[in-house]
Amino acid sequence: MTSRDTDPMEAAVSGAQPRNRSGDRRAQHQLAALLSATPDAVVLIDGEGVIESFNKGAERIFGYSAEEIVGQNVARLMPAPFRAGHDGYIRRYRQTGEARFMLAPREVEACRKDGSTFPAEVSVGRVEGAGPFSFIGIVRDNSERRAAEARLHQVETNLLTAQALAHVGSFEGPWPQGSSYFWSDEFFRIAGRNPDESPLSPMEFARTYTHQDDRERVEARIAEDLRKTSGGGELEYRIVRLDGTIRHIQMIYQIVRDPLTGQGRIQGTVLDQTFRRHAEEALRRERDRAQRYLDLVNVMIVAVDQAGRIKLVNRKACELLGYPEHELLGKDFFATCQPAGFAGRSRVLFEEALAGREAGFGLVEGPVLTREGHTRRVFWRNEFLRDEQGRINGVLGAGEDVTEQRETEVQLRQAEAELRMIFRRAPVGMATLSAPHAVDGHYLSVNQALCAMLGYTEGELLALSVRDLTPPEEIDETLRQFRQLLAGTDTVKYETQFIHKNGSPVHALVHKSVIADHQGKPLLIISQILDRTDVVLAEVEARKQRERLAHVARLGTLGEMAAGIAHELNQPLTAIANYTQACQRLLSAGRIDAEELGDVLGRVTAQARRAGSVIQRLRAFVRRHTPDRRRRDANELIQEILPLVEMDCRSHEVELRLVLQQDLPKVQVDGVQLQQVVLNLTRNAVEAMNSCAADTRSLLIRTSCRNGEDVELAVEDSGEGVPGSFLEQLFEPFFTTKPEGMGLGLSLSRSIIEAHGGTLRYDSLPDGGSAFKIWLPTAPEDE
Amino acid sequence: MMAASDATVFIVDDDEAVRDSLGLLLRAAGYRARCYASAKDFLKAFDPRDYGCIVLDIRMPGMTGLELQKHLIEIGCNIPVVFITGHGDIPMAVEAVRQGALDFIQKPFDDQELVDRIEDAMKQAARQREGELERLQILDRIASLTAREKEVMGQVVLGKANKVIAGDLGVSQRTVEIHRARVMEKMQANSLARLVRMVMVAEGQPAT
Repeated sequence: MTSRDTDPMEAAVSGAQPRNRSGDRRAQHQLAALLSATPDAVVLIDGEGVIESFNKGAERIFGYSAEEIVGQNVARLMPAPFRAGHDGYIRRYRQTGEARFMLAPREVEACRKDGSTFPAEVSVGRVEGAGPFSFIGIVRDNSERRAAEARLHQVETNLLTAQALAHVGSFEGPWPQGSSYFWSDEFFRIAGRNPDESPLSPMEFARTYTHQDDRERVEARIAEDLRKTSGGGELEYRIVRLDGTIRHIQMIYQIVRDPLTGQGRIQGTVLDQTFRRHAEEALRRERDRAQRYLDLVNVMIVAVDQAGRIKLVNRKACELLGYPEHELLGKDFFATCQPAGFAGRSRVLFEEALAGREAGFGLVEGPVLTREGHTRRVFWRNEFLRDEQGRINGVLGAGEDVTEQRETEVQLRQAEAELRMIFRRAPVGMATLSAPHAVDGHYLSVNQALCAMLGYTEGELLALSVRDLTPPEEIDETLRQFRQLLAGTDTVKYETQFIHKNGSPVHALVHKSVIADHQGKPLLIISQILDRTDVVLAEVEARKQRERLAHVARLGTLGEMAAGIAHELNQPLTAIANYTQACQRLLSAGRIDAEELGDVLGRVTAQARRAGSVIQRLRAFVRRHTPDRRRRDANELIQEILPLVEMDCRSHEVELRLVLQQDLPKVQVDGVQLQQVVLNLTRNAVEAMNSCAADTRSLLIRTSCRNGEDVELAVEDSGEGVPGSFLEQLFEPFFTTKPEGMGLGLSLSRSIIEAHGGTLRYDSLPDGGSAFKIWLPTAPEDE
Repeated sequence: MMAASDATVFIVDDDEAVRDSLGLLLRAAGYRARCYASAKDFLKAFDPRDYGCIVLDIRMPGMTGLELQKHLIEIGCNIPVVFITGHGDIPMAVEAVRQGALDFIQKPFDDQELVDRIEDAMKQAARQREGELERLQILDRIASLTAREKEVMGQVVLGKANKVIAGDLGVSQRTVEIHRARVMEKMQANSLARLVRMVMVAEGQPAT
């Protein structure tokens, strides 16, 4: 310290005189030299405070010359506020010996000749020896030191601020172990440590905070540093704060060891790199992603500058062209990668596009030449590259290898041609219709088989519409199928008729399918038309046979019911006879007037009608009719034949009960045929009960809906049921238990029901009677 | 030819037209006629003491004509019954006659034939009514007999000799003779045959 530096001089001044008188002169010279050489001001004053001596240093520091100031009061060297007090200090010292600031250096304010003041460090001593009091004062100008100190402080403040701003903390302390470590505020912040806690040694810090993945590496470094006397370095690792967050830090440190004591110290900085790390990682990821995209994207990407030189190629492009990337970069794209015949034209196109004269440059398809000399077809999507000013400086092209696709297209065309051939020559009738215009019914194409089937030439057929070729009664169904197809059904299959050119009907089974575009929009309808006229005619013939048989069977049934029918006719006839004979008697007796007579005749008429209606019903039932399937209500059909059943029951003293479920679904049936089956079953039931006591004979006709799907008509009797041994043959033709029966009733009934898609079955009832059940499928809803 | 004014023809037929026309015809022929749609309806309205005859449809739902006839016999009502039958019901009609029906006519019928049958039935009804009056008279006379006299009459009508009756009853033959004379007197029977007939009438057996 500076105060100590003055010690030798003071000693010299104070100790020289008493020790060596003989050497005074020499000493005086030495003192004079010293006084003039020393940078400090040395001022001697007497006991009154008057300056006796003023050295060179004092002249320089205070700006007075020795001549000017010697003889003046020393207070002149002090700023005005302190001058007055100074004489008092000296007086008090003389009287009491109390020195307020003798010996200990002290900083005071001093005043130069020009009146400016400066910080001065003053040491004052009494000059020992003979004579009156005198004092020696050594004054050092502290201005620069103070300025330096202020600058240092400023620098330190700046450093701390900088540390905080740069996330740099610093630390200092003994190495390897010791106490009183220093951590800067920023270090506390980085470590997430409470500043009230004591700082840790670097090793404790490493042990406490290092992320476990980095621990091995950090500990290895510490071990290495412990072996060395000095060292330092840089270490990046992660720390885990107490709150669990992770920071990336960079530690730069220096270890210094005193070679003599072996005592080491370490100091260093800690930089929080977390944000930088994150930013770097994000950047790297972005770069990787871009690169990976370029590599992974399944199109070639080639960027060229205005001269056509390759600036960028991706992996796909390299693969396709067969070059490693570095062989392509910088090469002329056209010369290198396009076949000779194409390159010239392609370059012209490129240059025209750069000049803004070629608008169709965005999408181009053309060949590329691979390193092996193969050609591939590539479909390019091109974009201009621009510099910051927006000027075009190149082109980036994304190219798709369409070689296989083009080959497939050629194959597809061939396949289409083959398909067309098959279409034309197929043995079944085929036609196509445009799906959006299907309802117009004009064919787009027809094949030869269809022409042959309908008797028209292809030209004639194409000029006609489906409506012209379809009998009027079939048109609704055909349109319904079209609509279903367009509503999303893949395939429809239905039977219909066409009209041959010669007017005869053509029965056909039609399959229609839709071909949709890739968005699922119907494009085309393909129709396959199978001529089933022969089959249908055979079926019609079979149906006629069945109908003839059914007719015979109905006649037979009525024959069996003759007694009942006669009774049914007899009743109105009896009534008519009674009425008329009554009238005759009354007339001849003159006991009837016109009004009464009219009344009775009315009743006669009603009975005549009643007889007529019985006959009508019988005729309706036995007449030959063409099969006619319609949506019918099973209950209504039963009601229509009820009089016949009632009559049969009456004549056999059978109690008849009906249990008809309301709101039955409709069935698609030939009414007369279904009635025939029901009547056949009731007849059988009535006969089956002949041997039972009259008061136990009961017949139940029941309708219901089975599972919401089928309509069930059941005929149940209270007879003795069908013996088990008969069950298997029950529905066989010519099986009968009746002496006069033909054995066709049940067999025919079953074939009629099955022709309607239904089932006729037998169940025995718990109390021994029989139940015959007809199950018929529900008719489709009307549109 | 008119029957007694209180005689009624009861028509039972389930067919409304036949019933109605029969009613008209029989009224035109001068009878009182009442129509019923079923045997049950008829039985509900009928009093066994009613006088007349029944025209009964043989074939009806529920209780048939034959069953009604049987029922009437069972309750001791012997009102004459004329059955009307349809075609093919002949076997049933024969069964009806076997059960005691007066006759049957087939639908449709001639009115005169019907009226003749009704007339027959009414005559029989009249006869039966006369018989019924006689029976009541006889029953009154029987009621006037003492117990012993009834006992003796029961034995006499069996054709037993006085001696045998005396042995059976443990009384003297003379006593039997006295009782027998009293019976003949009270019963106003001038011959044994007459007494036998009276007892038969009283017991509801058809008189010959």
